[in-house]
Amino acid sequence: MSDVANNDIVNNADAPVLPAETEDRLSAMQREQGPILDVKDLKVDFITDDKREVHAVRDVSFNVYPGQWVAIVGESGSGKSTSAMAVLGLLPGTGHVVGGSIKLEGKEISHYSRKQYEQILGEKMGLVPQDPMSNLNPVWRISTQVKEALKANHMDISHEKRSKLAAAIAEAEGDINLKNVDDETFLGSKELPGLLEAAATALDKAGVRDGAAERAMARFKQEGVPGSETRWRVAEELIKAGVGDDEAWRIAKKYVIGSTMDDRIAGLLDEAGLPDAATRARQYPYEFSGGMLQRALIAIGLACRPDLLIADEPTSALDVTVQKKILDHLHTLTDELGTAVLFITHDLGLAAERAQHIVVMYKGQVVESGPSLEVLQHPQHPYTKRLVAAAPSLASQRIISAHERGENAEALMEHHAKGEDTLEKSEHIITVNHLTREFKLPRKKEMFKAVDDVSFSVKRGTTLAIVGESGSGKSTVANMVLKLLEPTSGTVTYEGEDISGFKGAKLLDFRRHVQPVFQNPYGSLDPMYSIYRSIEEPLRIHGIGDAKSRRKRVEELLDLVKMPRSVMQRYPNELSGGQRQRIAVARAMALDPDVIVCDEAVSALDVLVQDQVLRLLNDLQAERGLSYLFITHDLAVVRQIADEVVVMQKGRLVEHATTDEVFDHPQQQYTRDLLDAIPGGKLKLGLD
Amino acid sequence: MSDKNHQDDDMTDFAMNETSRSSVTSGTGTVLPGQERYVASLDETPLHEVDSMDESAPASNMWTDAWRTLRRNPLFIVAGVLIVFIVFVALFPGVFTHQNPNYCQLEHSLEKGGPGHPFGYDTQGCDVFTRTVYGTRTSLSVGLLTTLLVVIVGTLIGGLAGFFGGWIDAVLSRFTDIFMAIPMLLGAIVVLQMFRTSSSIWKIVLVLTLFGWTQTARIARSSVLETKNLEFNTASTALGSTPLRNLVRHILPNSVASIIVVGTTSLGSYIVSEATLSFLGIGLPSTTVSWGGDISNAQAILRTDPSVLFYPSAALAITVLAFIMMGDAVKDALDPKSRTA
Repeated sequence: MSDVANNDIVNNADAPVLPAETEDRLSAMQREQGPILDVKDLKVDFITDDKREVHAVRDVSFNVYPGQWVAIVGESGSGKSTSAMAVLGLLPGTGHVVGGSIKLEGKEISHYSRKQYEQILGEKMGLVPQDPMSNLNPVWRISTQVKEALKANHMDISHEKRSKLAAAIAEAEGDINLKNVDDETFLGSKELPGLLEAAATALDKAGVRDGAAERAMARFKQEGVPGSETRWRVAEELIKAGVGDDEAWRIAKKYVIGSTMDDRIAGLLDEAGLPDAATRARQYPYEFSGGMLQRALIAIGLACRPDLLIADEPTSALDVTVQKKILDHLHTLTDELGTAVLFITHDLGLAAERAQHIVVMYKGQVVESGPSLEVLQHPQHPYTKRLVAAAPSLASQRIISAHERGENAEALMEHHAKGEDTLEKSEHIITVNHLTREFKLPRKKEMFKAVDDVSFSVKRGTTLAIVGESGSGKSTVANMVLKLLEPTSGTVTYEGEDISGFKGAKLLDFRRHVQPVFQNPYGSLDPMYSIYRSIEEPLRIHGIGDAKSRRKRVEELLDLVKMPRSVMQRYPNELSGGQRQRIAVARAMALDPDVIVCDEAVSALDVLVQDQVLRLLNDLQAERGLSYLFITHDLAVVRQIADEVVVMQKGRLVEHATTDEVFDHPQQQYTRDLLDAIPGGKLKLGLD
Repeated sequence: MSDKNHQDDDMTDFAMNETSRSSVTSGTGTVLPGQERYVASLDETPLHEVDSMDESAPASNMWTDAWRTLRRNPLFIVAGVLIVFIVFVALFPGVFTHQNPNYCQLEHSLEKGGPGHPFGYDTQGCDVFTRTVYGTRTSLSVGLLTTLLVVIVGTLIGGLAGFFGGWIDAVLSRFTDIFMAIPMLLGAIVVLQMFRTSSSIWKIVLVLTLFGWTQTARIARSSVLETKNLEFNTASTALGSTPLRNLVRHILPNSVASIIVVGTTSLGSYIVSEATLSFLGIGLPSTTVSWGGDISNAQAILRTDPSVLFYPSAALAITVLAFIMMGDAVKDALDPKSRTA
């Protein structure tokens, strides 16, 4: 909902840049304190139904220093989440640690019982889980769920607890003079009006007037968050604004006298970047957007000020722009608190951007680890090289940096984007004219415009990408182009003919030429159909060929998508997501279509598999002159496949240009935001 | 993959110009202990082709998987053996006894068991063993036929309601609710009053179906509703398939598992219902051998000669138990929630 609006307090790009000397001091301190988490030769086994042991994690070693971000990167099934869950003592099902050691602050915890783990979870280690939608209890208010975390760990809600590292840094820098324990008392909501009033009077007395005073007061109002602002910070702010030392401390002592549970909850949510936290805390999870839920989970994960936060793909389920905001915020917050973060992701670009140290995992083992930029620039293990080559964020980054250095980027691109001239000359195979679609919302009178006056055309043999966040109406457009949904107004024409009039044989003919590939590789194939039957289905529906010729066609199609022919007798549940998606492409290709509509066709796949499917689509286009309408939320992918880009926001078309134009000269702020959100955008990359 | 790495030289060049961003990395000089560069040797983890297909893995689909799960389930083995035996008894009662279950001689009344008559005689002088053996056929036919009819009627009504939605769903669902509101036994008693003279088992089967189809209809409806919205139906539509073809080819086959589960679990309860109705004297007439009738006849002498009541009751309990266990085992194997994708 309002993910776009908040963050005005901290929106300072990604990692806050510390001054050089602070950093030296930091690393000296890290060296002195030793790693907060030290995992050595960790082995985790799962036991299958037929009592076989599966080695999910084999001899994995890595460590995390206080205040550091360490990323574990790998594809699904590489054991990255399993390693993290082993550290937390939360291995699912039959998983158990069979060897190696896990040391938290030098203490071995791998043999801990559930009870012992309860002592350290929350307080020493926090978790931000992957799927925000399923990790909050829908029947409880958000505040109750934050309270649960605080209560379970007997947190003192009226005093700030800081990590050792944060305290040490603060002390070393000498800019904070804590006089006694109570200086870390939180501000309460009851005393806030009094404090503001006193501050105004004090400013007035100190001779701060007009603009300066207004600015100072505005800052107090913004920073004075009950349950988050502490006494010493209030005093410091006052002193900075021009109030005398003694007077400032007097006011702080008088008005900052501790917070209530509700204050603290609101304070925590506010810190996690939730706007209007006190009101929001009383709401239920269903009233929150995905990004807001993730913020609430971050608040819960950090509620007890753990020294180590484990973030398991915290933003994979979210839009890229929201992902960026949340990670930026988390970064600032953990830096302030001195919290170390173990960050799990499948995106190497994202990992390199956020973490100082990267651990690359493959098939349960660590294949490469080291300082993030070094790993990214000089990948040595063939698997890391593959990852670097495939990551869409990095690929588009490579093209940009090649452009900047005045080199010919063509060689780097799988897909050779057509220039404007070629596009103009091309024949329009699908034209969308002033397309509008309204939906009736429950309990509301006015109609909701999912798609609002959208026009564009797909040229033969080219790819047009529609980009936008979830809810921008891009899939609705796809469904209307496929004639699975009727537009409220406007037209879709295929080869010059309005498709709304298509019926019977004409419709069947249209279906034959315009084919979809859907997002969810697990849903788009009928689990009861063998692969052969799935691919054969279109031939059967259109009555093409006899049993023998169909079989031959299916074999050809499997060759086309580079799947072994033996797969025909198998069922979708035996295939991985990428393999299923290739089967879906084969099915779409069965009737030799002209146009393929890919609705988020690669969004659910791992980077390597995504790269593979994109290559397949590119090859097919080059060989057969296919036209693609490619729907995606990820601009990074667009660069690899599209000639033209249409950017949609809230149902409206906001920008329409060639891919190069959009990447080099984005016209709209929204497009620039989307471009900025591509992870790894700020990284300096080698042209490898 | 190797073609992607042909620019290795560039890479080194570039690293020299690299201005390290302080916040991202501390450079090689300040690497903390334990975080030095590490590269695993390739021999340890051989690199596989991206997303390669394991062709050696045994083929599996929903049914073979279910069968594999079933085979290992002791509940299924016990229930399976019992059911095979019960079906065999029902089909060939002559193998176990050569007597006519309706051949009763009063002179044998309440005689204890002896050779050829292991369970003894009842009040009427009928052989308890023979009657128990022949009673299997009645119970089993009622159970199986009722289940079959219930599944057909329930799937039809529930499936149509789920598939078409809208007012068709509203009408059919209310119709289902009405029938669900009538207690099965009460309804059966009222209806069966009218057909007291008929000795056909069909009257029981039809009455049980009339009041028993609602549960299957509900399951079928929700299952169809769930399957209907899955993407493969949209994919089929986009391929040119008609809605009706989707229903028959995709939606119903995908809903069949949950219907089978509810069918097997309720089979036992239909057998019990038949016995109850016969016990109450409004089920099958005494000319038809049935466990319920025999139990009813034996209840008067329960205190003096409990064994007469014991044998048909035990047979009933074992049969019902076998089917309920089978239902549980099938549910474990087929329940979509317990199955991993």
